[in-house]
Amino acid sequence: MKLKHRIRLLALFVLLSSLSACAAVQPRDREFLADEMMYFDVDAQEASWHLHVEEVLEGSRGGFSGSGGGCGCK
Amino acid sequence: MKRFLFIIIGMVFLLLFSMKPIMAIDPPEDEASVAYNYFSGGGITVQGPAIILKKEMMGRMSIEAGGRMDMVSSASIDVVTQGSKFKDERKEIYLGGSRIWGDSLFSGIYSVSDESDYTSNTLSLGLTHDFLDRNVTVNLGISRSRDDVSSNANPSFGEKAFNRTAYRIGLTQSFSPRWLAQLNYELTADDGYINSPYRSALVGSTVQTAAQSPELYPNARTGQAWVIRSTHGFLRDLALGGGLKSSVQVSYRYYQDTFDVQSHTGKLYYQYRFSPNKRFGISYRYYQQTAASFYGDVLPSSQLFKARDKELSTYSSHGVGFSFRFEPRQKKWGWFKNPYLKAGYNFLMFKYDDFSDPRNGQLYSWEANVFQISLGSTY
Repeated sequence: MKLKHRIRLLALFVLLSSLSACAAVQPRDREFLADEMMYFDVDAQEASWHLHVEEVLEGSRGGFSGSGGGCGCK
Repeated sequence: MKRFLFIIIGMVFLLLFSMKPIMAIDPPEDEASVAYNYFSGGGITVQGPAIILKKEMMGRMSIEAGGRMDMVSSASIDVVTQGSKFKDERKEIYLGGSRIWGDSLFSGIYSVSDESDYTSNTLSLGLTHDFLDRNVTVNLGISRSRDDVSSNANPSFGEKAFNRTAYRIGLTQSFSPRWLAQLNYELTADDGYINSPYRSALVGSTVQTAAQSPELYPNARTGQAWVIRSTHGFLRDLALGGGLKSSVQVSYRYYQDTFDVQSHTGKLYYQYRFSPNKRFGISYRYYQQTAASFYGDVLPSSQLFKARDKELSTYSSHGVGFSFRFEPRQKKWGWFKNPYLKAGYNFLMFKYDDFSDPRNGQLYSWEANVFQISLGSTY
């Protein structure tokens, strides 16, 4: 396994193992987290369209969410 | 092995959909939205409508259906230097469902897209589970696409298969009542006919004198993407009504694959709420990638794998976006409740380091305008 991969796995492990100490938000304090402005993808229509445009125009894919195939781009 | 894993996961989902639930996650609302999408740049125009319908059932299930039509008119640099302008239509429809089980949400979507020389069938399954008083959320997902590629220019080309399998895992953590962070990893595995049946590589010494030779890619590609993103909310003074006034979202993605493409993507997104029913957003996105190992502006004839796809070259892009969302004060219009209108515009700029325009020998660059307007409501 390459050194870079080991470092990434180690960073992921450290992050995961620290999660239990981070459970700081009580259910009664979740009002703001439920606000749409806190969502990572506020609008499904908009997210789907931009993801499609980016996947057609760029050599990279993945990491943000799933999407269907086909391109309409050739 | 992958097919076996896919079937097992599918059976688990079917089983879970048939069991009785213990509710903890809020079910999604009934919602309908229509949108119009527009893209124009680099000689390509894509425009068309889209629709999404969501219906909650029995308080613990929901079904979702949608579709999009893209009307394509293309005179891209590849098309004008290697072929002739064309028009095409791409239609995509999907049907999906989700089921809540305690602190878990199971979802599945099947989508089909069709255009004159490309069809795609995709099945996606997902599992979301909340831990630790909903402070930690884990997402797991798998999707499988089976595509068929054909050529309008060459009927004897027939149909060639292209398959894609994607595995996803994500972790979202609430660090404070106004701070969320997410870590995602996605592995994509492609196999089959990956290159375009139309595009040619250039073989020779300069782009203006080189001869065209059909592209040839390896028949497998594996990519890995790591994403970290975070959102922080800012409060309005209690004297002005309280609530969230604005939010900032930052995201970063690192990607690499077996074609030797590596990329970095960064995005900054700021939203501001003028009033309870008006919201404005501004974003900046930066993207840069390295070229595939077998890409070349001009290639030697001795090279086996050949690509001259600008999406596999070395380049960077900048994108600036604006969005606006408006909700009328009247919350009920007959069947429709909480209607909203949303519009978004993005300006994109692409600059290539090793992709030249064969018409003048200069390095290529282009700009694009991307627009979307949508109207939706719950019912």
